[in-house]
Amino acid sequence: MSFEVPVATTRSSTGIPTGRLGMWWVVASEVVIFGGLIVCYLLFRLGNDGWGGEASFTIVPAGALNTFVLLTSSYFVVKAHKLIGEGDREEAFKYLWYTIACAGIFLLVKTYEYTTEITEMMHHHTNEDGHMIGTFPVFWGFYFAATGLHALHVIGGAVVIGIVSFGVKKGENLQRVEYVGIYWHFVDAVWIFLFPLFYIAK
Amino acid sequence: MSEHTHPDYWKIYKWLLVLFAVSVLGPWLFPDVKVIVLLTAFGIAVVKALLVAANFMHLNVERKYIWHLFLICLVFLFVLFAAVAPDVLNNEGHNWKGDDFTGVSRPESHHESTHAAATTSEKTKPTLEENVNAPKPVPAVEPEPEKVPSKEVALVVPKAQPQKPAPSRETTKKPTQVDPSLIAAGKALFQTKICFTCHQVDPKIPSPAGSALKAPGFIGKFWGTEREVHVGVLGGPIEKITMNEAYFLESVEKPMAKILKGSIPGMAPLPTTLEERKALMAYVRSLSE
Amino acid sequence: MTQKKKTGTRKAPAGHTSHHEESFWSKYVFSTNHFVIALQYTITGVFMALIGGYMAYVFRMQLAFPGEAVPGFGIVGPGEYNNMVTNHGTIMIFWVAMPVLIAGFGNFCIPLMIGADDMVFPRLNRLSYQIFLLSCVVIIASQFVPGGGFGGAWTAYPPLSSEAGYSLTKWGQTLWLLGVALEFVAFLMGGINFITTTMNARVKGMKMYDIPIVVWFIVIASILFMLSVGPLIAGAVMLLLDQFHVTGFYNPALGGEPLLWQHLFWFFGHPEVYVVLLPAIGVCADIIPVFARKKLFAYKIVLWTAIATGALSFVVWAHHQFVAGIDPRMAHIFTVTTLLISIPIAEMVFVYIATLYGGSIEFKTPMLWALAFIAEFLIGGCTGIYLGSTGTDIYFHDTYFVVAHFHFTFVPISIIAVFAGITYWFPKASGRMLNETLGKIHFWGTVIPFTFMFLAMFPLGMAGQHRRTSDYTIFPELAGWQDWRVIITYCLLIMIAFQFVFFWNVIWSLKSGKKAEKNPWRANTLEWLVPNVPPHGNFTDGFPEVYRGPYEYSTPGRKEDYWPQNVPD
Repeated sequence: MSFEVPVATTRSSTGIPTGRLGMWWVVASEVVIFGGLIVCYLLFRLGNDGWGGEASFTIVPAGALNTFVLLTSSYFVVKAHKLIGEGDREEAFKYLWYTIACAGIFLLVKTYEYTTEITEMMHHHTNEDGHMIGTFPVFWGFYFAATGLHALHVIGGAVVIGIVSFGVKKGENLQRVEYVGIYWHFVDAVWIFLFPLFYIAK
Repeated sequence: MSEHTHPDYWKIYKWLLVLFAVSVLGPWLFPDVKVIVLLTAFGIAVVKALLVAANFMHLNVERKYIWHLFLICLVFLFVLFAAVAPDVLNNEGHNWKGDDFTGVSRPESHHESTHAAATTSEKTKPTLEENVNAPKPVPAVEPEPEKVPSKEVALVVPKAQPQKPAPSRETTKKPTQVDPSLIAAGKALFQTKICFTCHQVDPKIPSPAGSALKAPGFIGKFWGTEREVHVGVLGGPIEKITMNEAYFLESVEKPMAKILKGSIPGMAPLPTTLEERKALMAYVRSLSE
Repeated sequence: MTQKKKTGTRKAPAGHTSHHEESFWSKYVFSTNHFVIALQYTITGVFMALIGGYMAYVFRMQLAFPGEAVPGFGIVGPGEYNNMVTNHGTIMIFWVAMPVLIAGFGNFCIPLMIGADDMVFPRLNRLSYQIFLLSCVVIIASQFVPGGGFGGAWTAYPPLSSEAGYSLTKWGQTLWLLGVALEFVAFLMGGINFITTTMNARVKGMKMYDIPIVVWFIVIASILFMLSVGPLIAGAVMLLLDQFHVTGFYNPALGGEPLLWQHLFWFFGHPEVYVVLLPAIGVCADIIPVFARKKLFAYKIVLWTAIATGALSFVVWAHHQFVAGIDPRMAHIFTVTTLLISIPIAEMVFVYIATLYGGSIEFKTPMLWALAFIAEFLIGGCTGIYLGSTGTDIYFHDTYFVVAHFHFTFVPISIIAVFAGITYWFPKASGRMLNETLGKIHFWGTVIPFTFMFLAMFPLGMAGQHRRTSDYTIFPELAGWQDWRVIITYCLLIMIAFQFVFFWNVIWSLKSGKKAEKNPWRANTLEWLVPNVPPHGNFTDGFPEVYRGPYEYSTPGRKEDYWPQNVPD
């Protein structure tokens, strides 16, 4: 039994296609989520000069590589959108998968970073129960919260791009390439801000 | 709306890479010039994000109110920052001075500009050792927020401790004949009658309400010591009494009878039986050295 | 204005031809149909209201008869008391008010009132309900884990909410947080649906100013929710990490700041109350013109005051923190903005009263509820002024004055307006009329005890009775008021008893109630055009076209005293 798209979805009283309008609202809600996290980080960072010390331990080359990878993936996904407009579905399919490949590289680099940082940056001490526990200084708390949340969005976005690509292969719902592209560009834009905040500004 | 001319995506992408290179090189070449770091790292980030938004996301051909939507998001985020900053960015007030505390101290640091951090680390290092075993935070909603949690003395409520432990007429020897089950019963009552919320017994666990009211703690050598109290009401005549059985039993039954000098009266006269008061006394006494 | 070339082939829209077999599961459980989802949300919300009400019963019994075992619960110690109070508040706001008002009424009304066959993202709609249901399971499960349910108040300030050593509910505090987080996700998804549907899926001829107020207000509420919940989601992630002792965002010993949580929470918390207020006041905006047979006094003013309220609601939050030690200069600013926000809401109430003036008022049950909303909310709003002014708030903060104030606002929102909406749309949703007599008995039996109950709490608060304390008889200066507490509890018991009248009314009417005509209230809006118990696709006889706004009642020169939106002249 297949899903029937309601008439409502095909209407457009605003002139913006419904799927794209919905995606803009998704992006708006995500802007305030990541924005809130970054505001909190800035509040702490600006209030405490000592944080520069902790920030010096982020691996700048890894962050820089990831920035390059995400920028390139953004280019790939918008190229796929252009190819759809020109009617070239096979090329568009390929470019969607290049985007997913970039997401994979990003996640690999992040895994490498996390494995070193989690072990080295954790501060071990005994708590009141006498157990050894590890806590992170607040800078690292923000680092893992922000980049971790971002990485989850990268994974989710990659999965959705994959699903959309299968539609492209069948020639269905090609408009979704543009919409998932908007989401992906947002994910890239978030990283554009996370990179200087956590890696560069020491 | 479905058809639109595509900008030259390849050109935009090249510009993004150029800007990216500048944003990395700027701080790398001039790490100590704050203006350059800010301009290149953050200024360029804003430009890059706008390029991506305008061209890749086609915001420049989208309806204007999508821009307005994002502008509203940014305005609200700015309001959040502006209103919270006076509280969170504050490092000192009338009655307290904050620690430039990052949460940990590190023996060495890689960067020149973290020299400041190194010195603060040293400052916080010795106190961190004590703090290491006591990660319990000091509660924030107090009249005088104590922002120096790393000093152990802040966790204890010392103000009510007597200045000179004078020898008392009563025996101060630890009662060895007291029934251990009575002490255990008293310990349980100490929890259920919520005495622990004001009277600190463990240096690592603060009593939030007690520190606000400056309630005496039961730590160290306190049994049998002398202290000054107001009789009847705060501001009443001062009397010198000894922390002994009679005083303890009376305090639990009628907390308002004698107010410790320097404390704020706030102990509730929770209903207790004589047996319960005796159990509490056995427990509290067992805590004294 | 449909998609053109880029879409390739698209699945055929509904209502066109291919009929498909629907099993029980696909029709009622895993449905994507907005009406079914609306029922799911509403029934779940009502069920959660029973749980929240039960918790209120438990802690009110403890307050009236301290130390005695509560029938149906047992002894209520301080820990159990805190657990009941915390979860009563959390459940009523997140699992009753929001699902019924926004998702329940939104899902039912919006497609029907704008002339659509469904929401624009039906599968997202279904997913949002599934995540919501999961959040219900999580929050209920938090009661049954070792340590019991979280007792740190619905505001969950750290370190009480981050240190299991303080809260004594190691698993409860985490499940509570996860339940709330899942609920946020569900409503973010739902909000996107409501906003996009209203903006895009309107039927031909329906311009922005022809949209019924209740639809507008649900959309504005969704926007408010979406913009304000972001920083709290970030803060909740931070709190979750703190609970596992991985980080110390709110722990000064690890470099953190507890006051930050307060700001993040209330930055959301205050817009949240308008998130629940707007749909409720919107329901009243749609009921009052119908039963006064008079045009809504000033549609555009009502709309723009709602938008102004929404915008202002983002800059008032720290009035919840006047005594928390915030910067006094901030306290000045927030006092001004808080007092300002009373103006647009008062304006809305004035418009409703002006609508009533000179009208031909029919005192049917939905109208009684809508009028009660105005009266009770007025008391709530006026008492808020004492709390918004720093000077008086220093005394009133954390006393029962606050409790009375927010119940005089929340109960109209989540109970009175909900009953208004349910009694109003019941004929459309079920095809039967509710019994008027039973409806009136239920109405008076709810509103009178409620009013007495919470009016009594104002003097209690002024006498200094603090919140979140399980036994006041131990305080000599408060013990004398114990009779009042007993009366309040009896009022609650009476109010709970009268709810049985409502459930009996619904069950009986579903089986043997008078069969309803299509438009029993003679209203203008589009939902009254569809058959009762709206079928799949809603407008199976064809979509209407809209020619005017929804409030043309008693238009001079017309024979009928109402003028449906789809009728050309």
